[in-house]
This record gives sequence, C-alpha cells and structure tokens, in this order.
Amino acid sequence: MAIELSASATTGLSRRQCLLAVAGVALWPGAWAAGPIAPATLVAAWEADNHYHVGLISVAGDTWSVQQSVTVPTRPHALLVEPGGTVLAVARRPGDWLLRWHPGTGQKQWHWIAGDRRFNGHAIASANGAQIWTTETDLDNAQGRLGMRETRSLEKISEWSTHGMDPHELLALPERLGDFPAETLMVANGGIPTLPETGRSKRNLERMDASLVALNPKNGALLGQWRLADPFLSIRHLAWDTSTLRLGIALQAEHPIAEDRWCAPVLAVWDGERLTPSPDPPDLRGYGGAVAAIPGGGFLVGCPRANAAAVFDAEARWSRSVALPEACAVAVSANQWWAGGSSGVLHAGPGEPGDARLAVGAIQAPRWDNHWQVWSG
Amino acid sequence: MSLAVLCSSGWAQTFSSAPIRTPSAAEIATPPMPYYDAEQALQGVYRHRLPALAKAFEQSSAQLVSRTEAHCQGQAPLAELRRQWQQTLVHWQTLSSPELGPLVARRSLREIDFWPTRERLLRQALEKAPQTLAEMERVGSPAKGFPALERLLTTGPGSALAPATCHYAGLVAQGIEAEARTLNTALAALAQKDWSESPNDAASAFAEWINQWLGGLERLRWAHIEKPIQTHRTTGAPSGQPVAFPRLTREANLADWRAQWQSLQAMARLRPGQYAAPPVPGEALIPIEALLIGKGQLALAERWAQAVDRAGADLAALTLQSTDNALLATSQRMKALTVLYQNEVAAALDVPMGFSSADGD
Repeated sequence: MAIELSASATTGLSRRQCLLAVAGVALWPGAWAAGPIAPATLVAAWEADNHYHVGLISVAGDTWSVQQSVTVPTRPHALLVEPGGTVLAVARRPGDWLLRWHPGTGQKQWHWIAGDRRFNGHAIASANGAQIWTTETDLDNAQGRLGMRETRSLEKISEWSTHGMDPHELLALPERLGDFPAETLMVANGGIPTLPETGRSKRNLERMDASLVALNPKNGALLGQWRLADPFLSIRHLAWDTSTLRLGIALQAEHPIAEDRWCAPVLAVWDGERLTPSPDPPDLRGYGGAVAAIPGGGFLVGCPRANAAAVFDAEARWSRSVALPEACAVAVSANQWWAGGSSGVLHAGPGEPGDARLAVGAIQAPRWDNHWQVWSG
Repeated sequence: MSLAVLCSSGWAQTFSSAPIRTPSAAEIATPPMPYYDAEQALQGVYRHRLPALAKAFEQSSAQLVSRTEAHCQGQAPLAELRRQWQQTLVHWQTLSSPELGPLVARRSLREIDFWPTRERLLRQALEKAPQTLAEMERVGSPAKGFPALERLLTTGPGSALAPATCHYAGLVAQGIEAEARTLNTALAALAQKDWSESPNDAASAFAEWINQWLGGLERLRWAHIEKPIQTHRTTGAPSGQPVAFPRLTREANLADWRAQWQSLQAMARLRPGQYAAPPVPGEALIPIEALLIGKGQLALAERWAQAVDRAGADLAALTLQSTDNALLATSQRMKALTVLYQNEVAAALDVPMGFSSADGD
C-alpha cells in the first residue's frame, strides 16, 4: 500500500512558500474511479550488474518481473512503441545509437548517428508512420537539431534547427490547439549549455535559455516560441492531455541556491497561447523526471529527488504526492498508472491513491531509466 | 621486427601499464591519510601534474614539426616521421586524459584530434594547397590534427610524401605545435593560481576534474574501443574489413589507449609508496583514491583501487594480436569502473553524477 504525503513530509523541508500547496484535494480523476488492477506489461530501460538493458517487464499484483530484454552498449533513455510490435530505443544524451528491437522475434536493427551529431535521448513517429523525428545536438556549436529520419532505415532525410540548445523530448500535437494545427511539432529546448568535450556537465548556467517551440512538420519553420519567466527552469519532458487539450511540461530546476531549486515548479502547462508554471509549487526538489497525462485531465510527474510521484490538475496545480523512493518513470493507460522507483513498481488503477500497490521483484529493483511505455504487443 | 612494433615497445618502456598492487585495509589505515580539500586537489592537478605534461607535449610537437621539415627536405625517412607522430600523439593523450581547464575552454581535442577524418575535406584541402597557418584556419578540423596527419603519413604511395602533401603535412604539424604552445602557456599560468582565493573557481574546477575524469574514461572505453567494434558488428560491414578504430594501425591504437589509461590511472590511484608517505598537500598530485581515504571512505577506496587495477591489468594484457572479443572484455571491465565511479565515488567526493541522481534527463 502506498503512502500519500504532503510535499513537506516527503522531503523533510518546511519552507513557508513550499507549504502553500500542501492542502490539496485527495481524489483521483474520475476516469480512475472503478475497476480492478489488471496485470500489465511495460517497456522499460534499466541498469543492473554493470549492464544497460531495454526490455519488457510484467507487473501483476505484488510482483514485477523481467519478461525479456536486450543488452545495449550505453545508457538508453526514451522508448517508442511502434506499430508492428517493435520498440525503438534511443541512447541517452550525448547518444550514439538507435535500436529497433522486436521482442517477438528478437530481431535487432541498429543505427549509429553520423559525424558531428549526437542523439539527445528522445524520438517520436510522424502521424502517418513514414518518418521518425529525433532531437539531436550539433557537436560543432552545441545547437539543437531536429532530425527527420526515414522510418524503415532510420537514415536521416533532413534536419532543422530547434532554435535552442539541449533539445530533449518532442511531441506532435494530436489535434489542433488554437493556431497550431494537428501534427505541429512541439520541442522542449532544455536550454542548458554543454560542450561535446564535457559531455553532460552543465556549463555557464547563467546563460541558460530554455524554451518550448512549435515547428511546422513539413519544413521546420518556427511557428512559435515560449519561455518561462524563471530562466533557471529547464523545459524537458512533454505529455498531451486529451481531456483538457493541454500540453504538460515537466521541468528541472537549475537554480544556484538549493532552496530556490527545491521549491521550483516541476510542471508547466501550455494551452496554445501561454506557457504557465505550476502556481504555488510544493517542495518537490525542483526535478520532474517524467510526465504522463491522466485520463480525465491532469498530469502525473515522477519526482526522484523528492521520492514521490506527484499529481497535478490540468492547470498545473499540485494536488498530492505518493511516496516512492527515487520515483521517476511513470506510465498511464486508460484506467491504470505505474511508477518505477528503487523499491519496485508502484501501480494503481482505480480508486483512491491509498489503493496503489507496490510490486517488488525477485531481485532488487534495478536502476530504472526515466521513461516507460505501456506494451500492448 | 617491424618499425611499428619497435615503436610500440619503445613506448611501453616509458609508460608501463603494470597494475599496482591493491593495498590491504591495514596499509590504508596507517599512517592516516590527511584530509585534502578541493583547493589542494586542484593544486596537485594544475601545479604538479599538467604543466610538465604540457611542456613535454610542446617539445614533442616541435620535434614533429622539425621531423616533417626534415622529411620534406629528404633528410629523414618517412618511418622516422611516423615514429615522431606517434610519440607526439602519446604526449597529447597523456595531457588530454582527461581534458581539463584550457583544453576544455579552447576545445583543443576538436582542434587537433578530430576523428574521424573526413576524406573529402582532406582532399579538398590538399587541392587548395594552403601556404600558411593563417590560411589553414579556413580548413575545417576534420582535415587537420593528428588523425589527418596520420592518414597522410600512412596511406600515401611510396616511401616519401609528395612535395604538396609534405607541405600540407608540415602545416598540420605546425597547427599541432601552435596549440601545444598555447596550452603550455595557459597551464603554466594556472600553475601559479591560488585556488583558495577564489572558492567559486575552485568549486567549479574541482567538479570539472571529477566529471572529466569520467569523460576521459568513457572516451577511452566507449568512443575509442567499444563503439568502433559495436558499430562494425551491427552495420553489416563486410567480413575482413577491419574495425575503424581511431588510429590506422593496431600499434598506434594500443599506444594511444595505454597513454590515455596511464594518465587516468595516475589521477585515480596512489602509488605504492604513497601509503607510507601520503602526498603532501601543495607538493604532489593527490589522486582520487587519496581523496577517498582522506574522507574516511576506506571501504570504497579499497573497492575503487581494486576496480582500477582490474581495468589496468586488462589493458596491460592487450597485445597487437588481441581479438575484438578481448577488447570488449576489457571495455566491460572499464564499464564496471564507470558505474562505480558515477554511482559512488563521485558522490563521495560531493560531485553527484549517479544513475539515479536525476542529473538532467
């Protein structure tokens, strides 16, 4: 059984401004209101025994287990479930490879990025399935690039600027929102300066320039760009809320002063016009690792530094947190949700958060990477 | 015996990779290792390690220029020039593993060790025939530096470079020397820096050192050893086609890898005598193992030392005939070191970068 906590109890910090949001409502959205927790299979990535893996895990009742997996040479990050029963895994930034894996047959298709580019960990498929889009970095100048690739071969067809540095997750709008037609590409420019020579090390954070951009999927033209008022908030992960037509954006704070960082918002929403951070954010240590949209409206954010999965409404107002050590990966289906942490897999369907169950494995939980997908193959 | 093998063994005499014996806990405990702060650690790196390496690199690069000129004038055989290229490469890798301070700021690796060389750009550069270093600035990095020079020295026909190629090779060598000179000057200035007077600089530089040590290890393990093999195996390369390692010969690659490792190891491990006589702050390089022991992390320091030694032993055992599977096994040993470092060692040094520390993805 999971424990529902206020933000201050989750982290042990009690700053005045962090306490404002503690008294949130404690109800799950209506779509999760009834029905049993069903066994499920998730696509996950993890590190164990000095190896990195991509695989399928099953979660049922109080246990989780690995169904099958493949070893990958470096740390994987995002996972894309493709039609035809394949998984496309993307190397974590600065990454070299894409792996298309068919769990049914075990077949693998590798693609290695060419020349002066590196993958930034995320990929999506175009609506017609003809293209794969990848966020990348130009090693010459550290500027963000959006790679357009032929789906079957994964070879690059074209690439465009993301109009920022450190592009991370991307999403194609599934339907029109305001002036932006369906399939508009939304890209999260994390904005953290890095150099190829220093890998993931953050440099000159005072020069951060995070932004959300909308790009024309036909030619890469910049249709819009939004920035938050706080320059130390890195815009990183995206989820589309079909109920309220909002884009949820998980944030990661980079403030030089720890207390500013801890109480920074971990979620913002974009409504087609404005990019709005969470009002009166609780102390979630300023780090949203993954975000998923909740059926009925709102968002679930994995907050590993706060050891919690946090629930927000569609206006980015925090409502509650559910304790889970190092909670990061989250996944949502029509009537269930899952969160991965160092103690196992927290999952719940229907009902109150108190009904969530912790599934543990026969082995110690591995170090999960940020992102999970529901597997229906 | 080939010249290349002679060159390799000559290098090995200078840079032995023999593993250091892991001390027992009792040896670690007595006498007590002092606690070292970040400023003292930086003084060790920037005063007692890098300046000498930068000076040696500059001297070697000057010899590379003079040997190239001699060859172009018919006064030195190509083999001698190739040998000098490899010696200078070893000095470069010793200095740049890991890349720190001015090497990062100047992006020196990209400037003089861009890999892979782009053949088309190199051909275009040769056709344009630049005459001066100033004109070389218009040539892109993929057609300059150590890899491009190696290609010129190794793949051309005959026993001597054609005059135009030789002139271009001379300019490439001069570019390497110019970078070496600039780095030597910058590092000589940093040797005088009092890190205690600027805590912010010290915190930033210490974090850079700890991060970049891992970056150096991963450049060796992944970029230089494992990735070329994995790429070769997964892209349908024709059987018989050699793996495209960064250098064109196994001798050069082995010398390169060992130089990188030797330098990383020097920053990682205490020398045997230093358990009895710990590094004196301000007077010596203070390796990561000493920092751990000084912070009371005895068990972690011991595991760290053992992991470093295992990786070092694997690298030392590599030969010119080692198979790709042997190289992958070495890489796996180094990956264990990577995981230990990023999950535990760095955090113990207050520079968290662990897998689950949510470091920005």
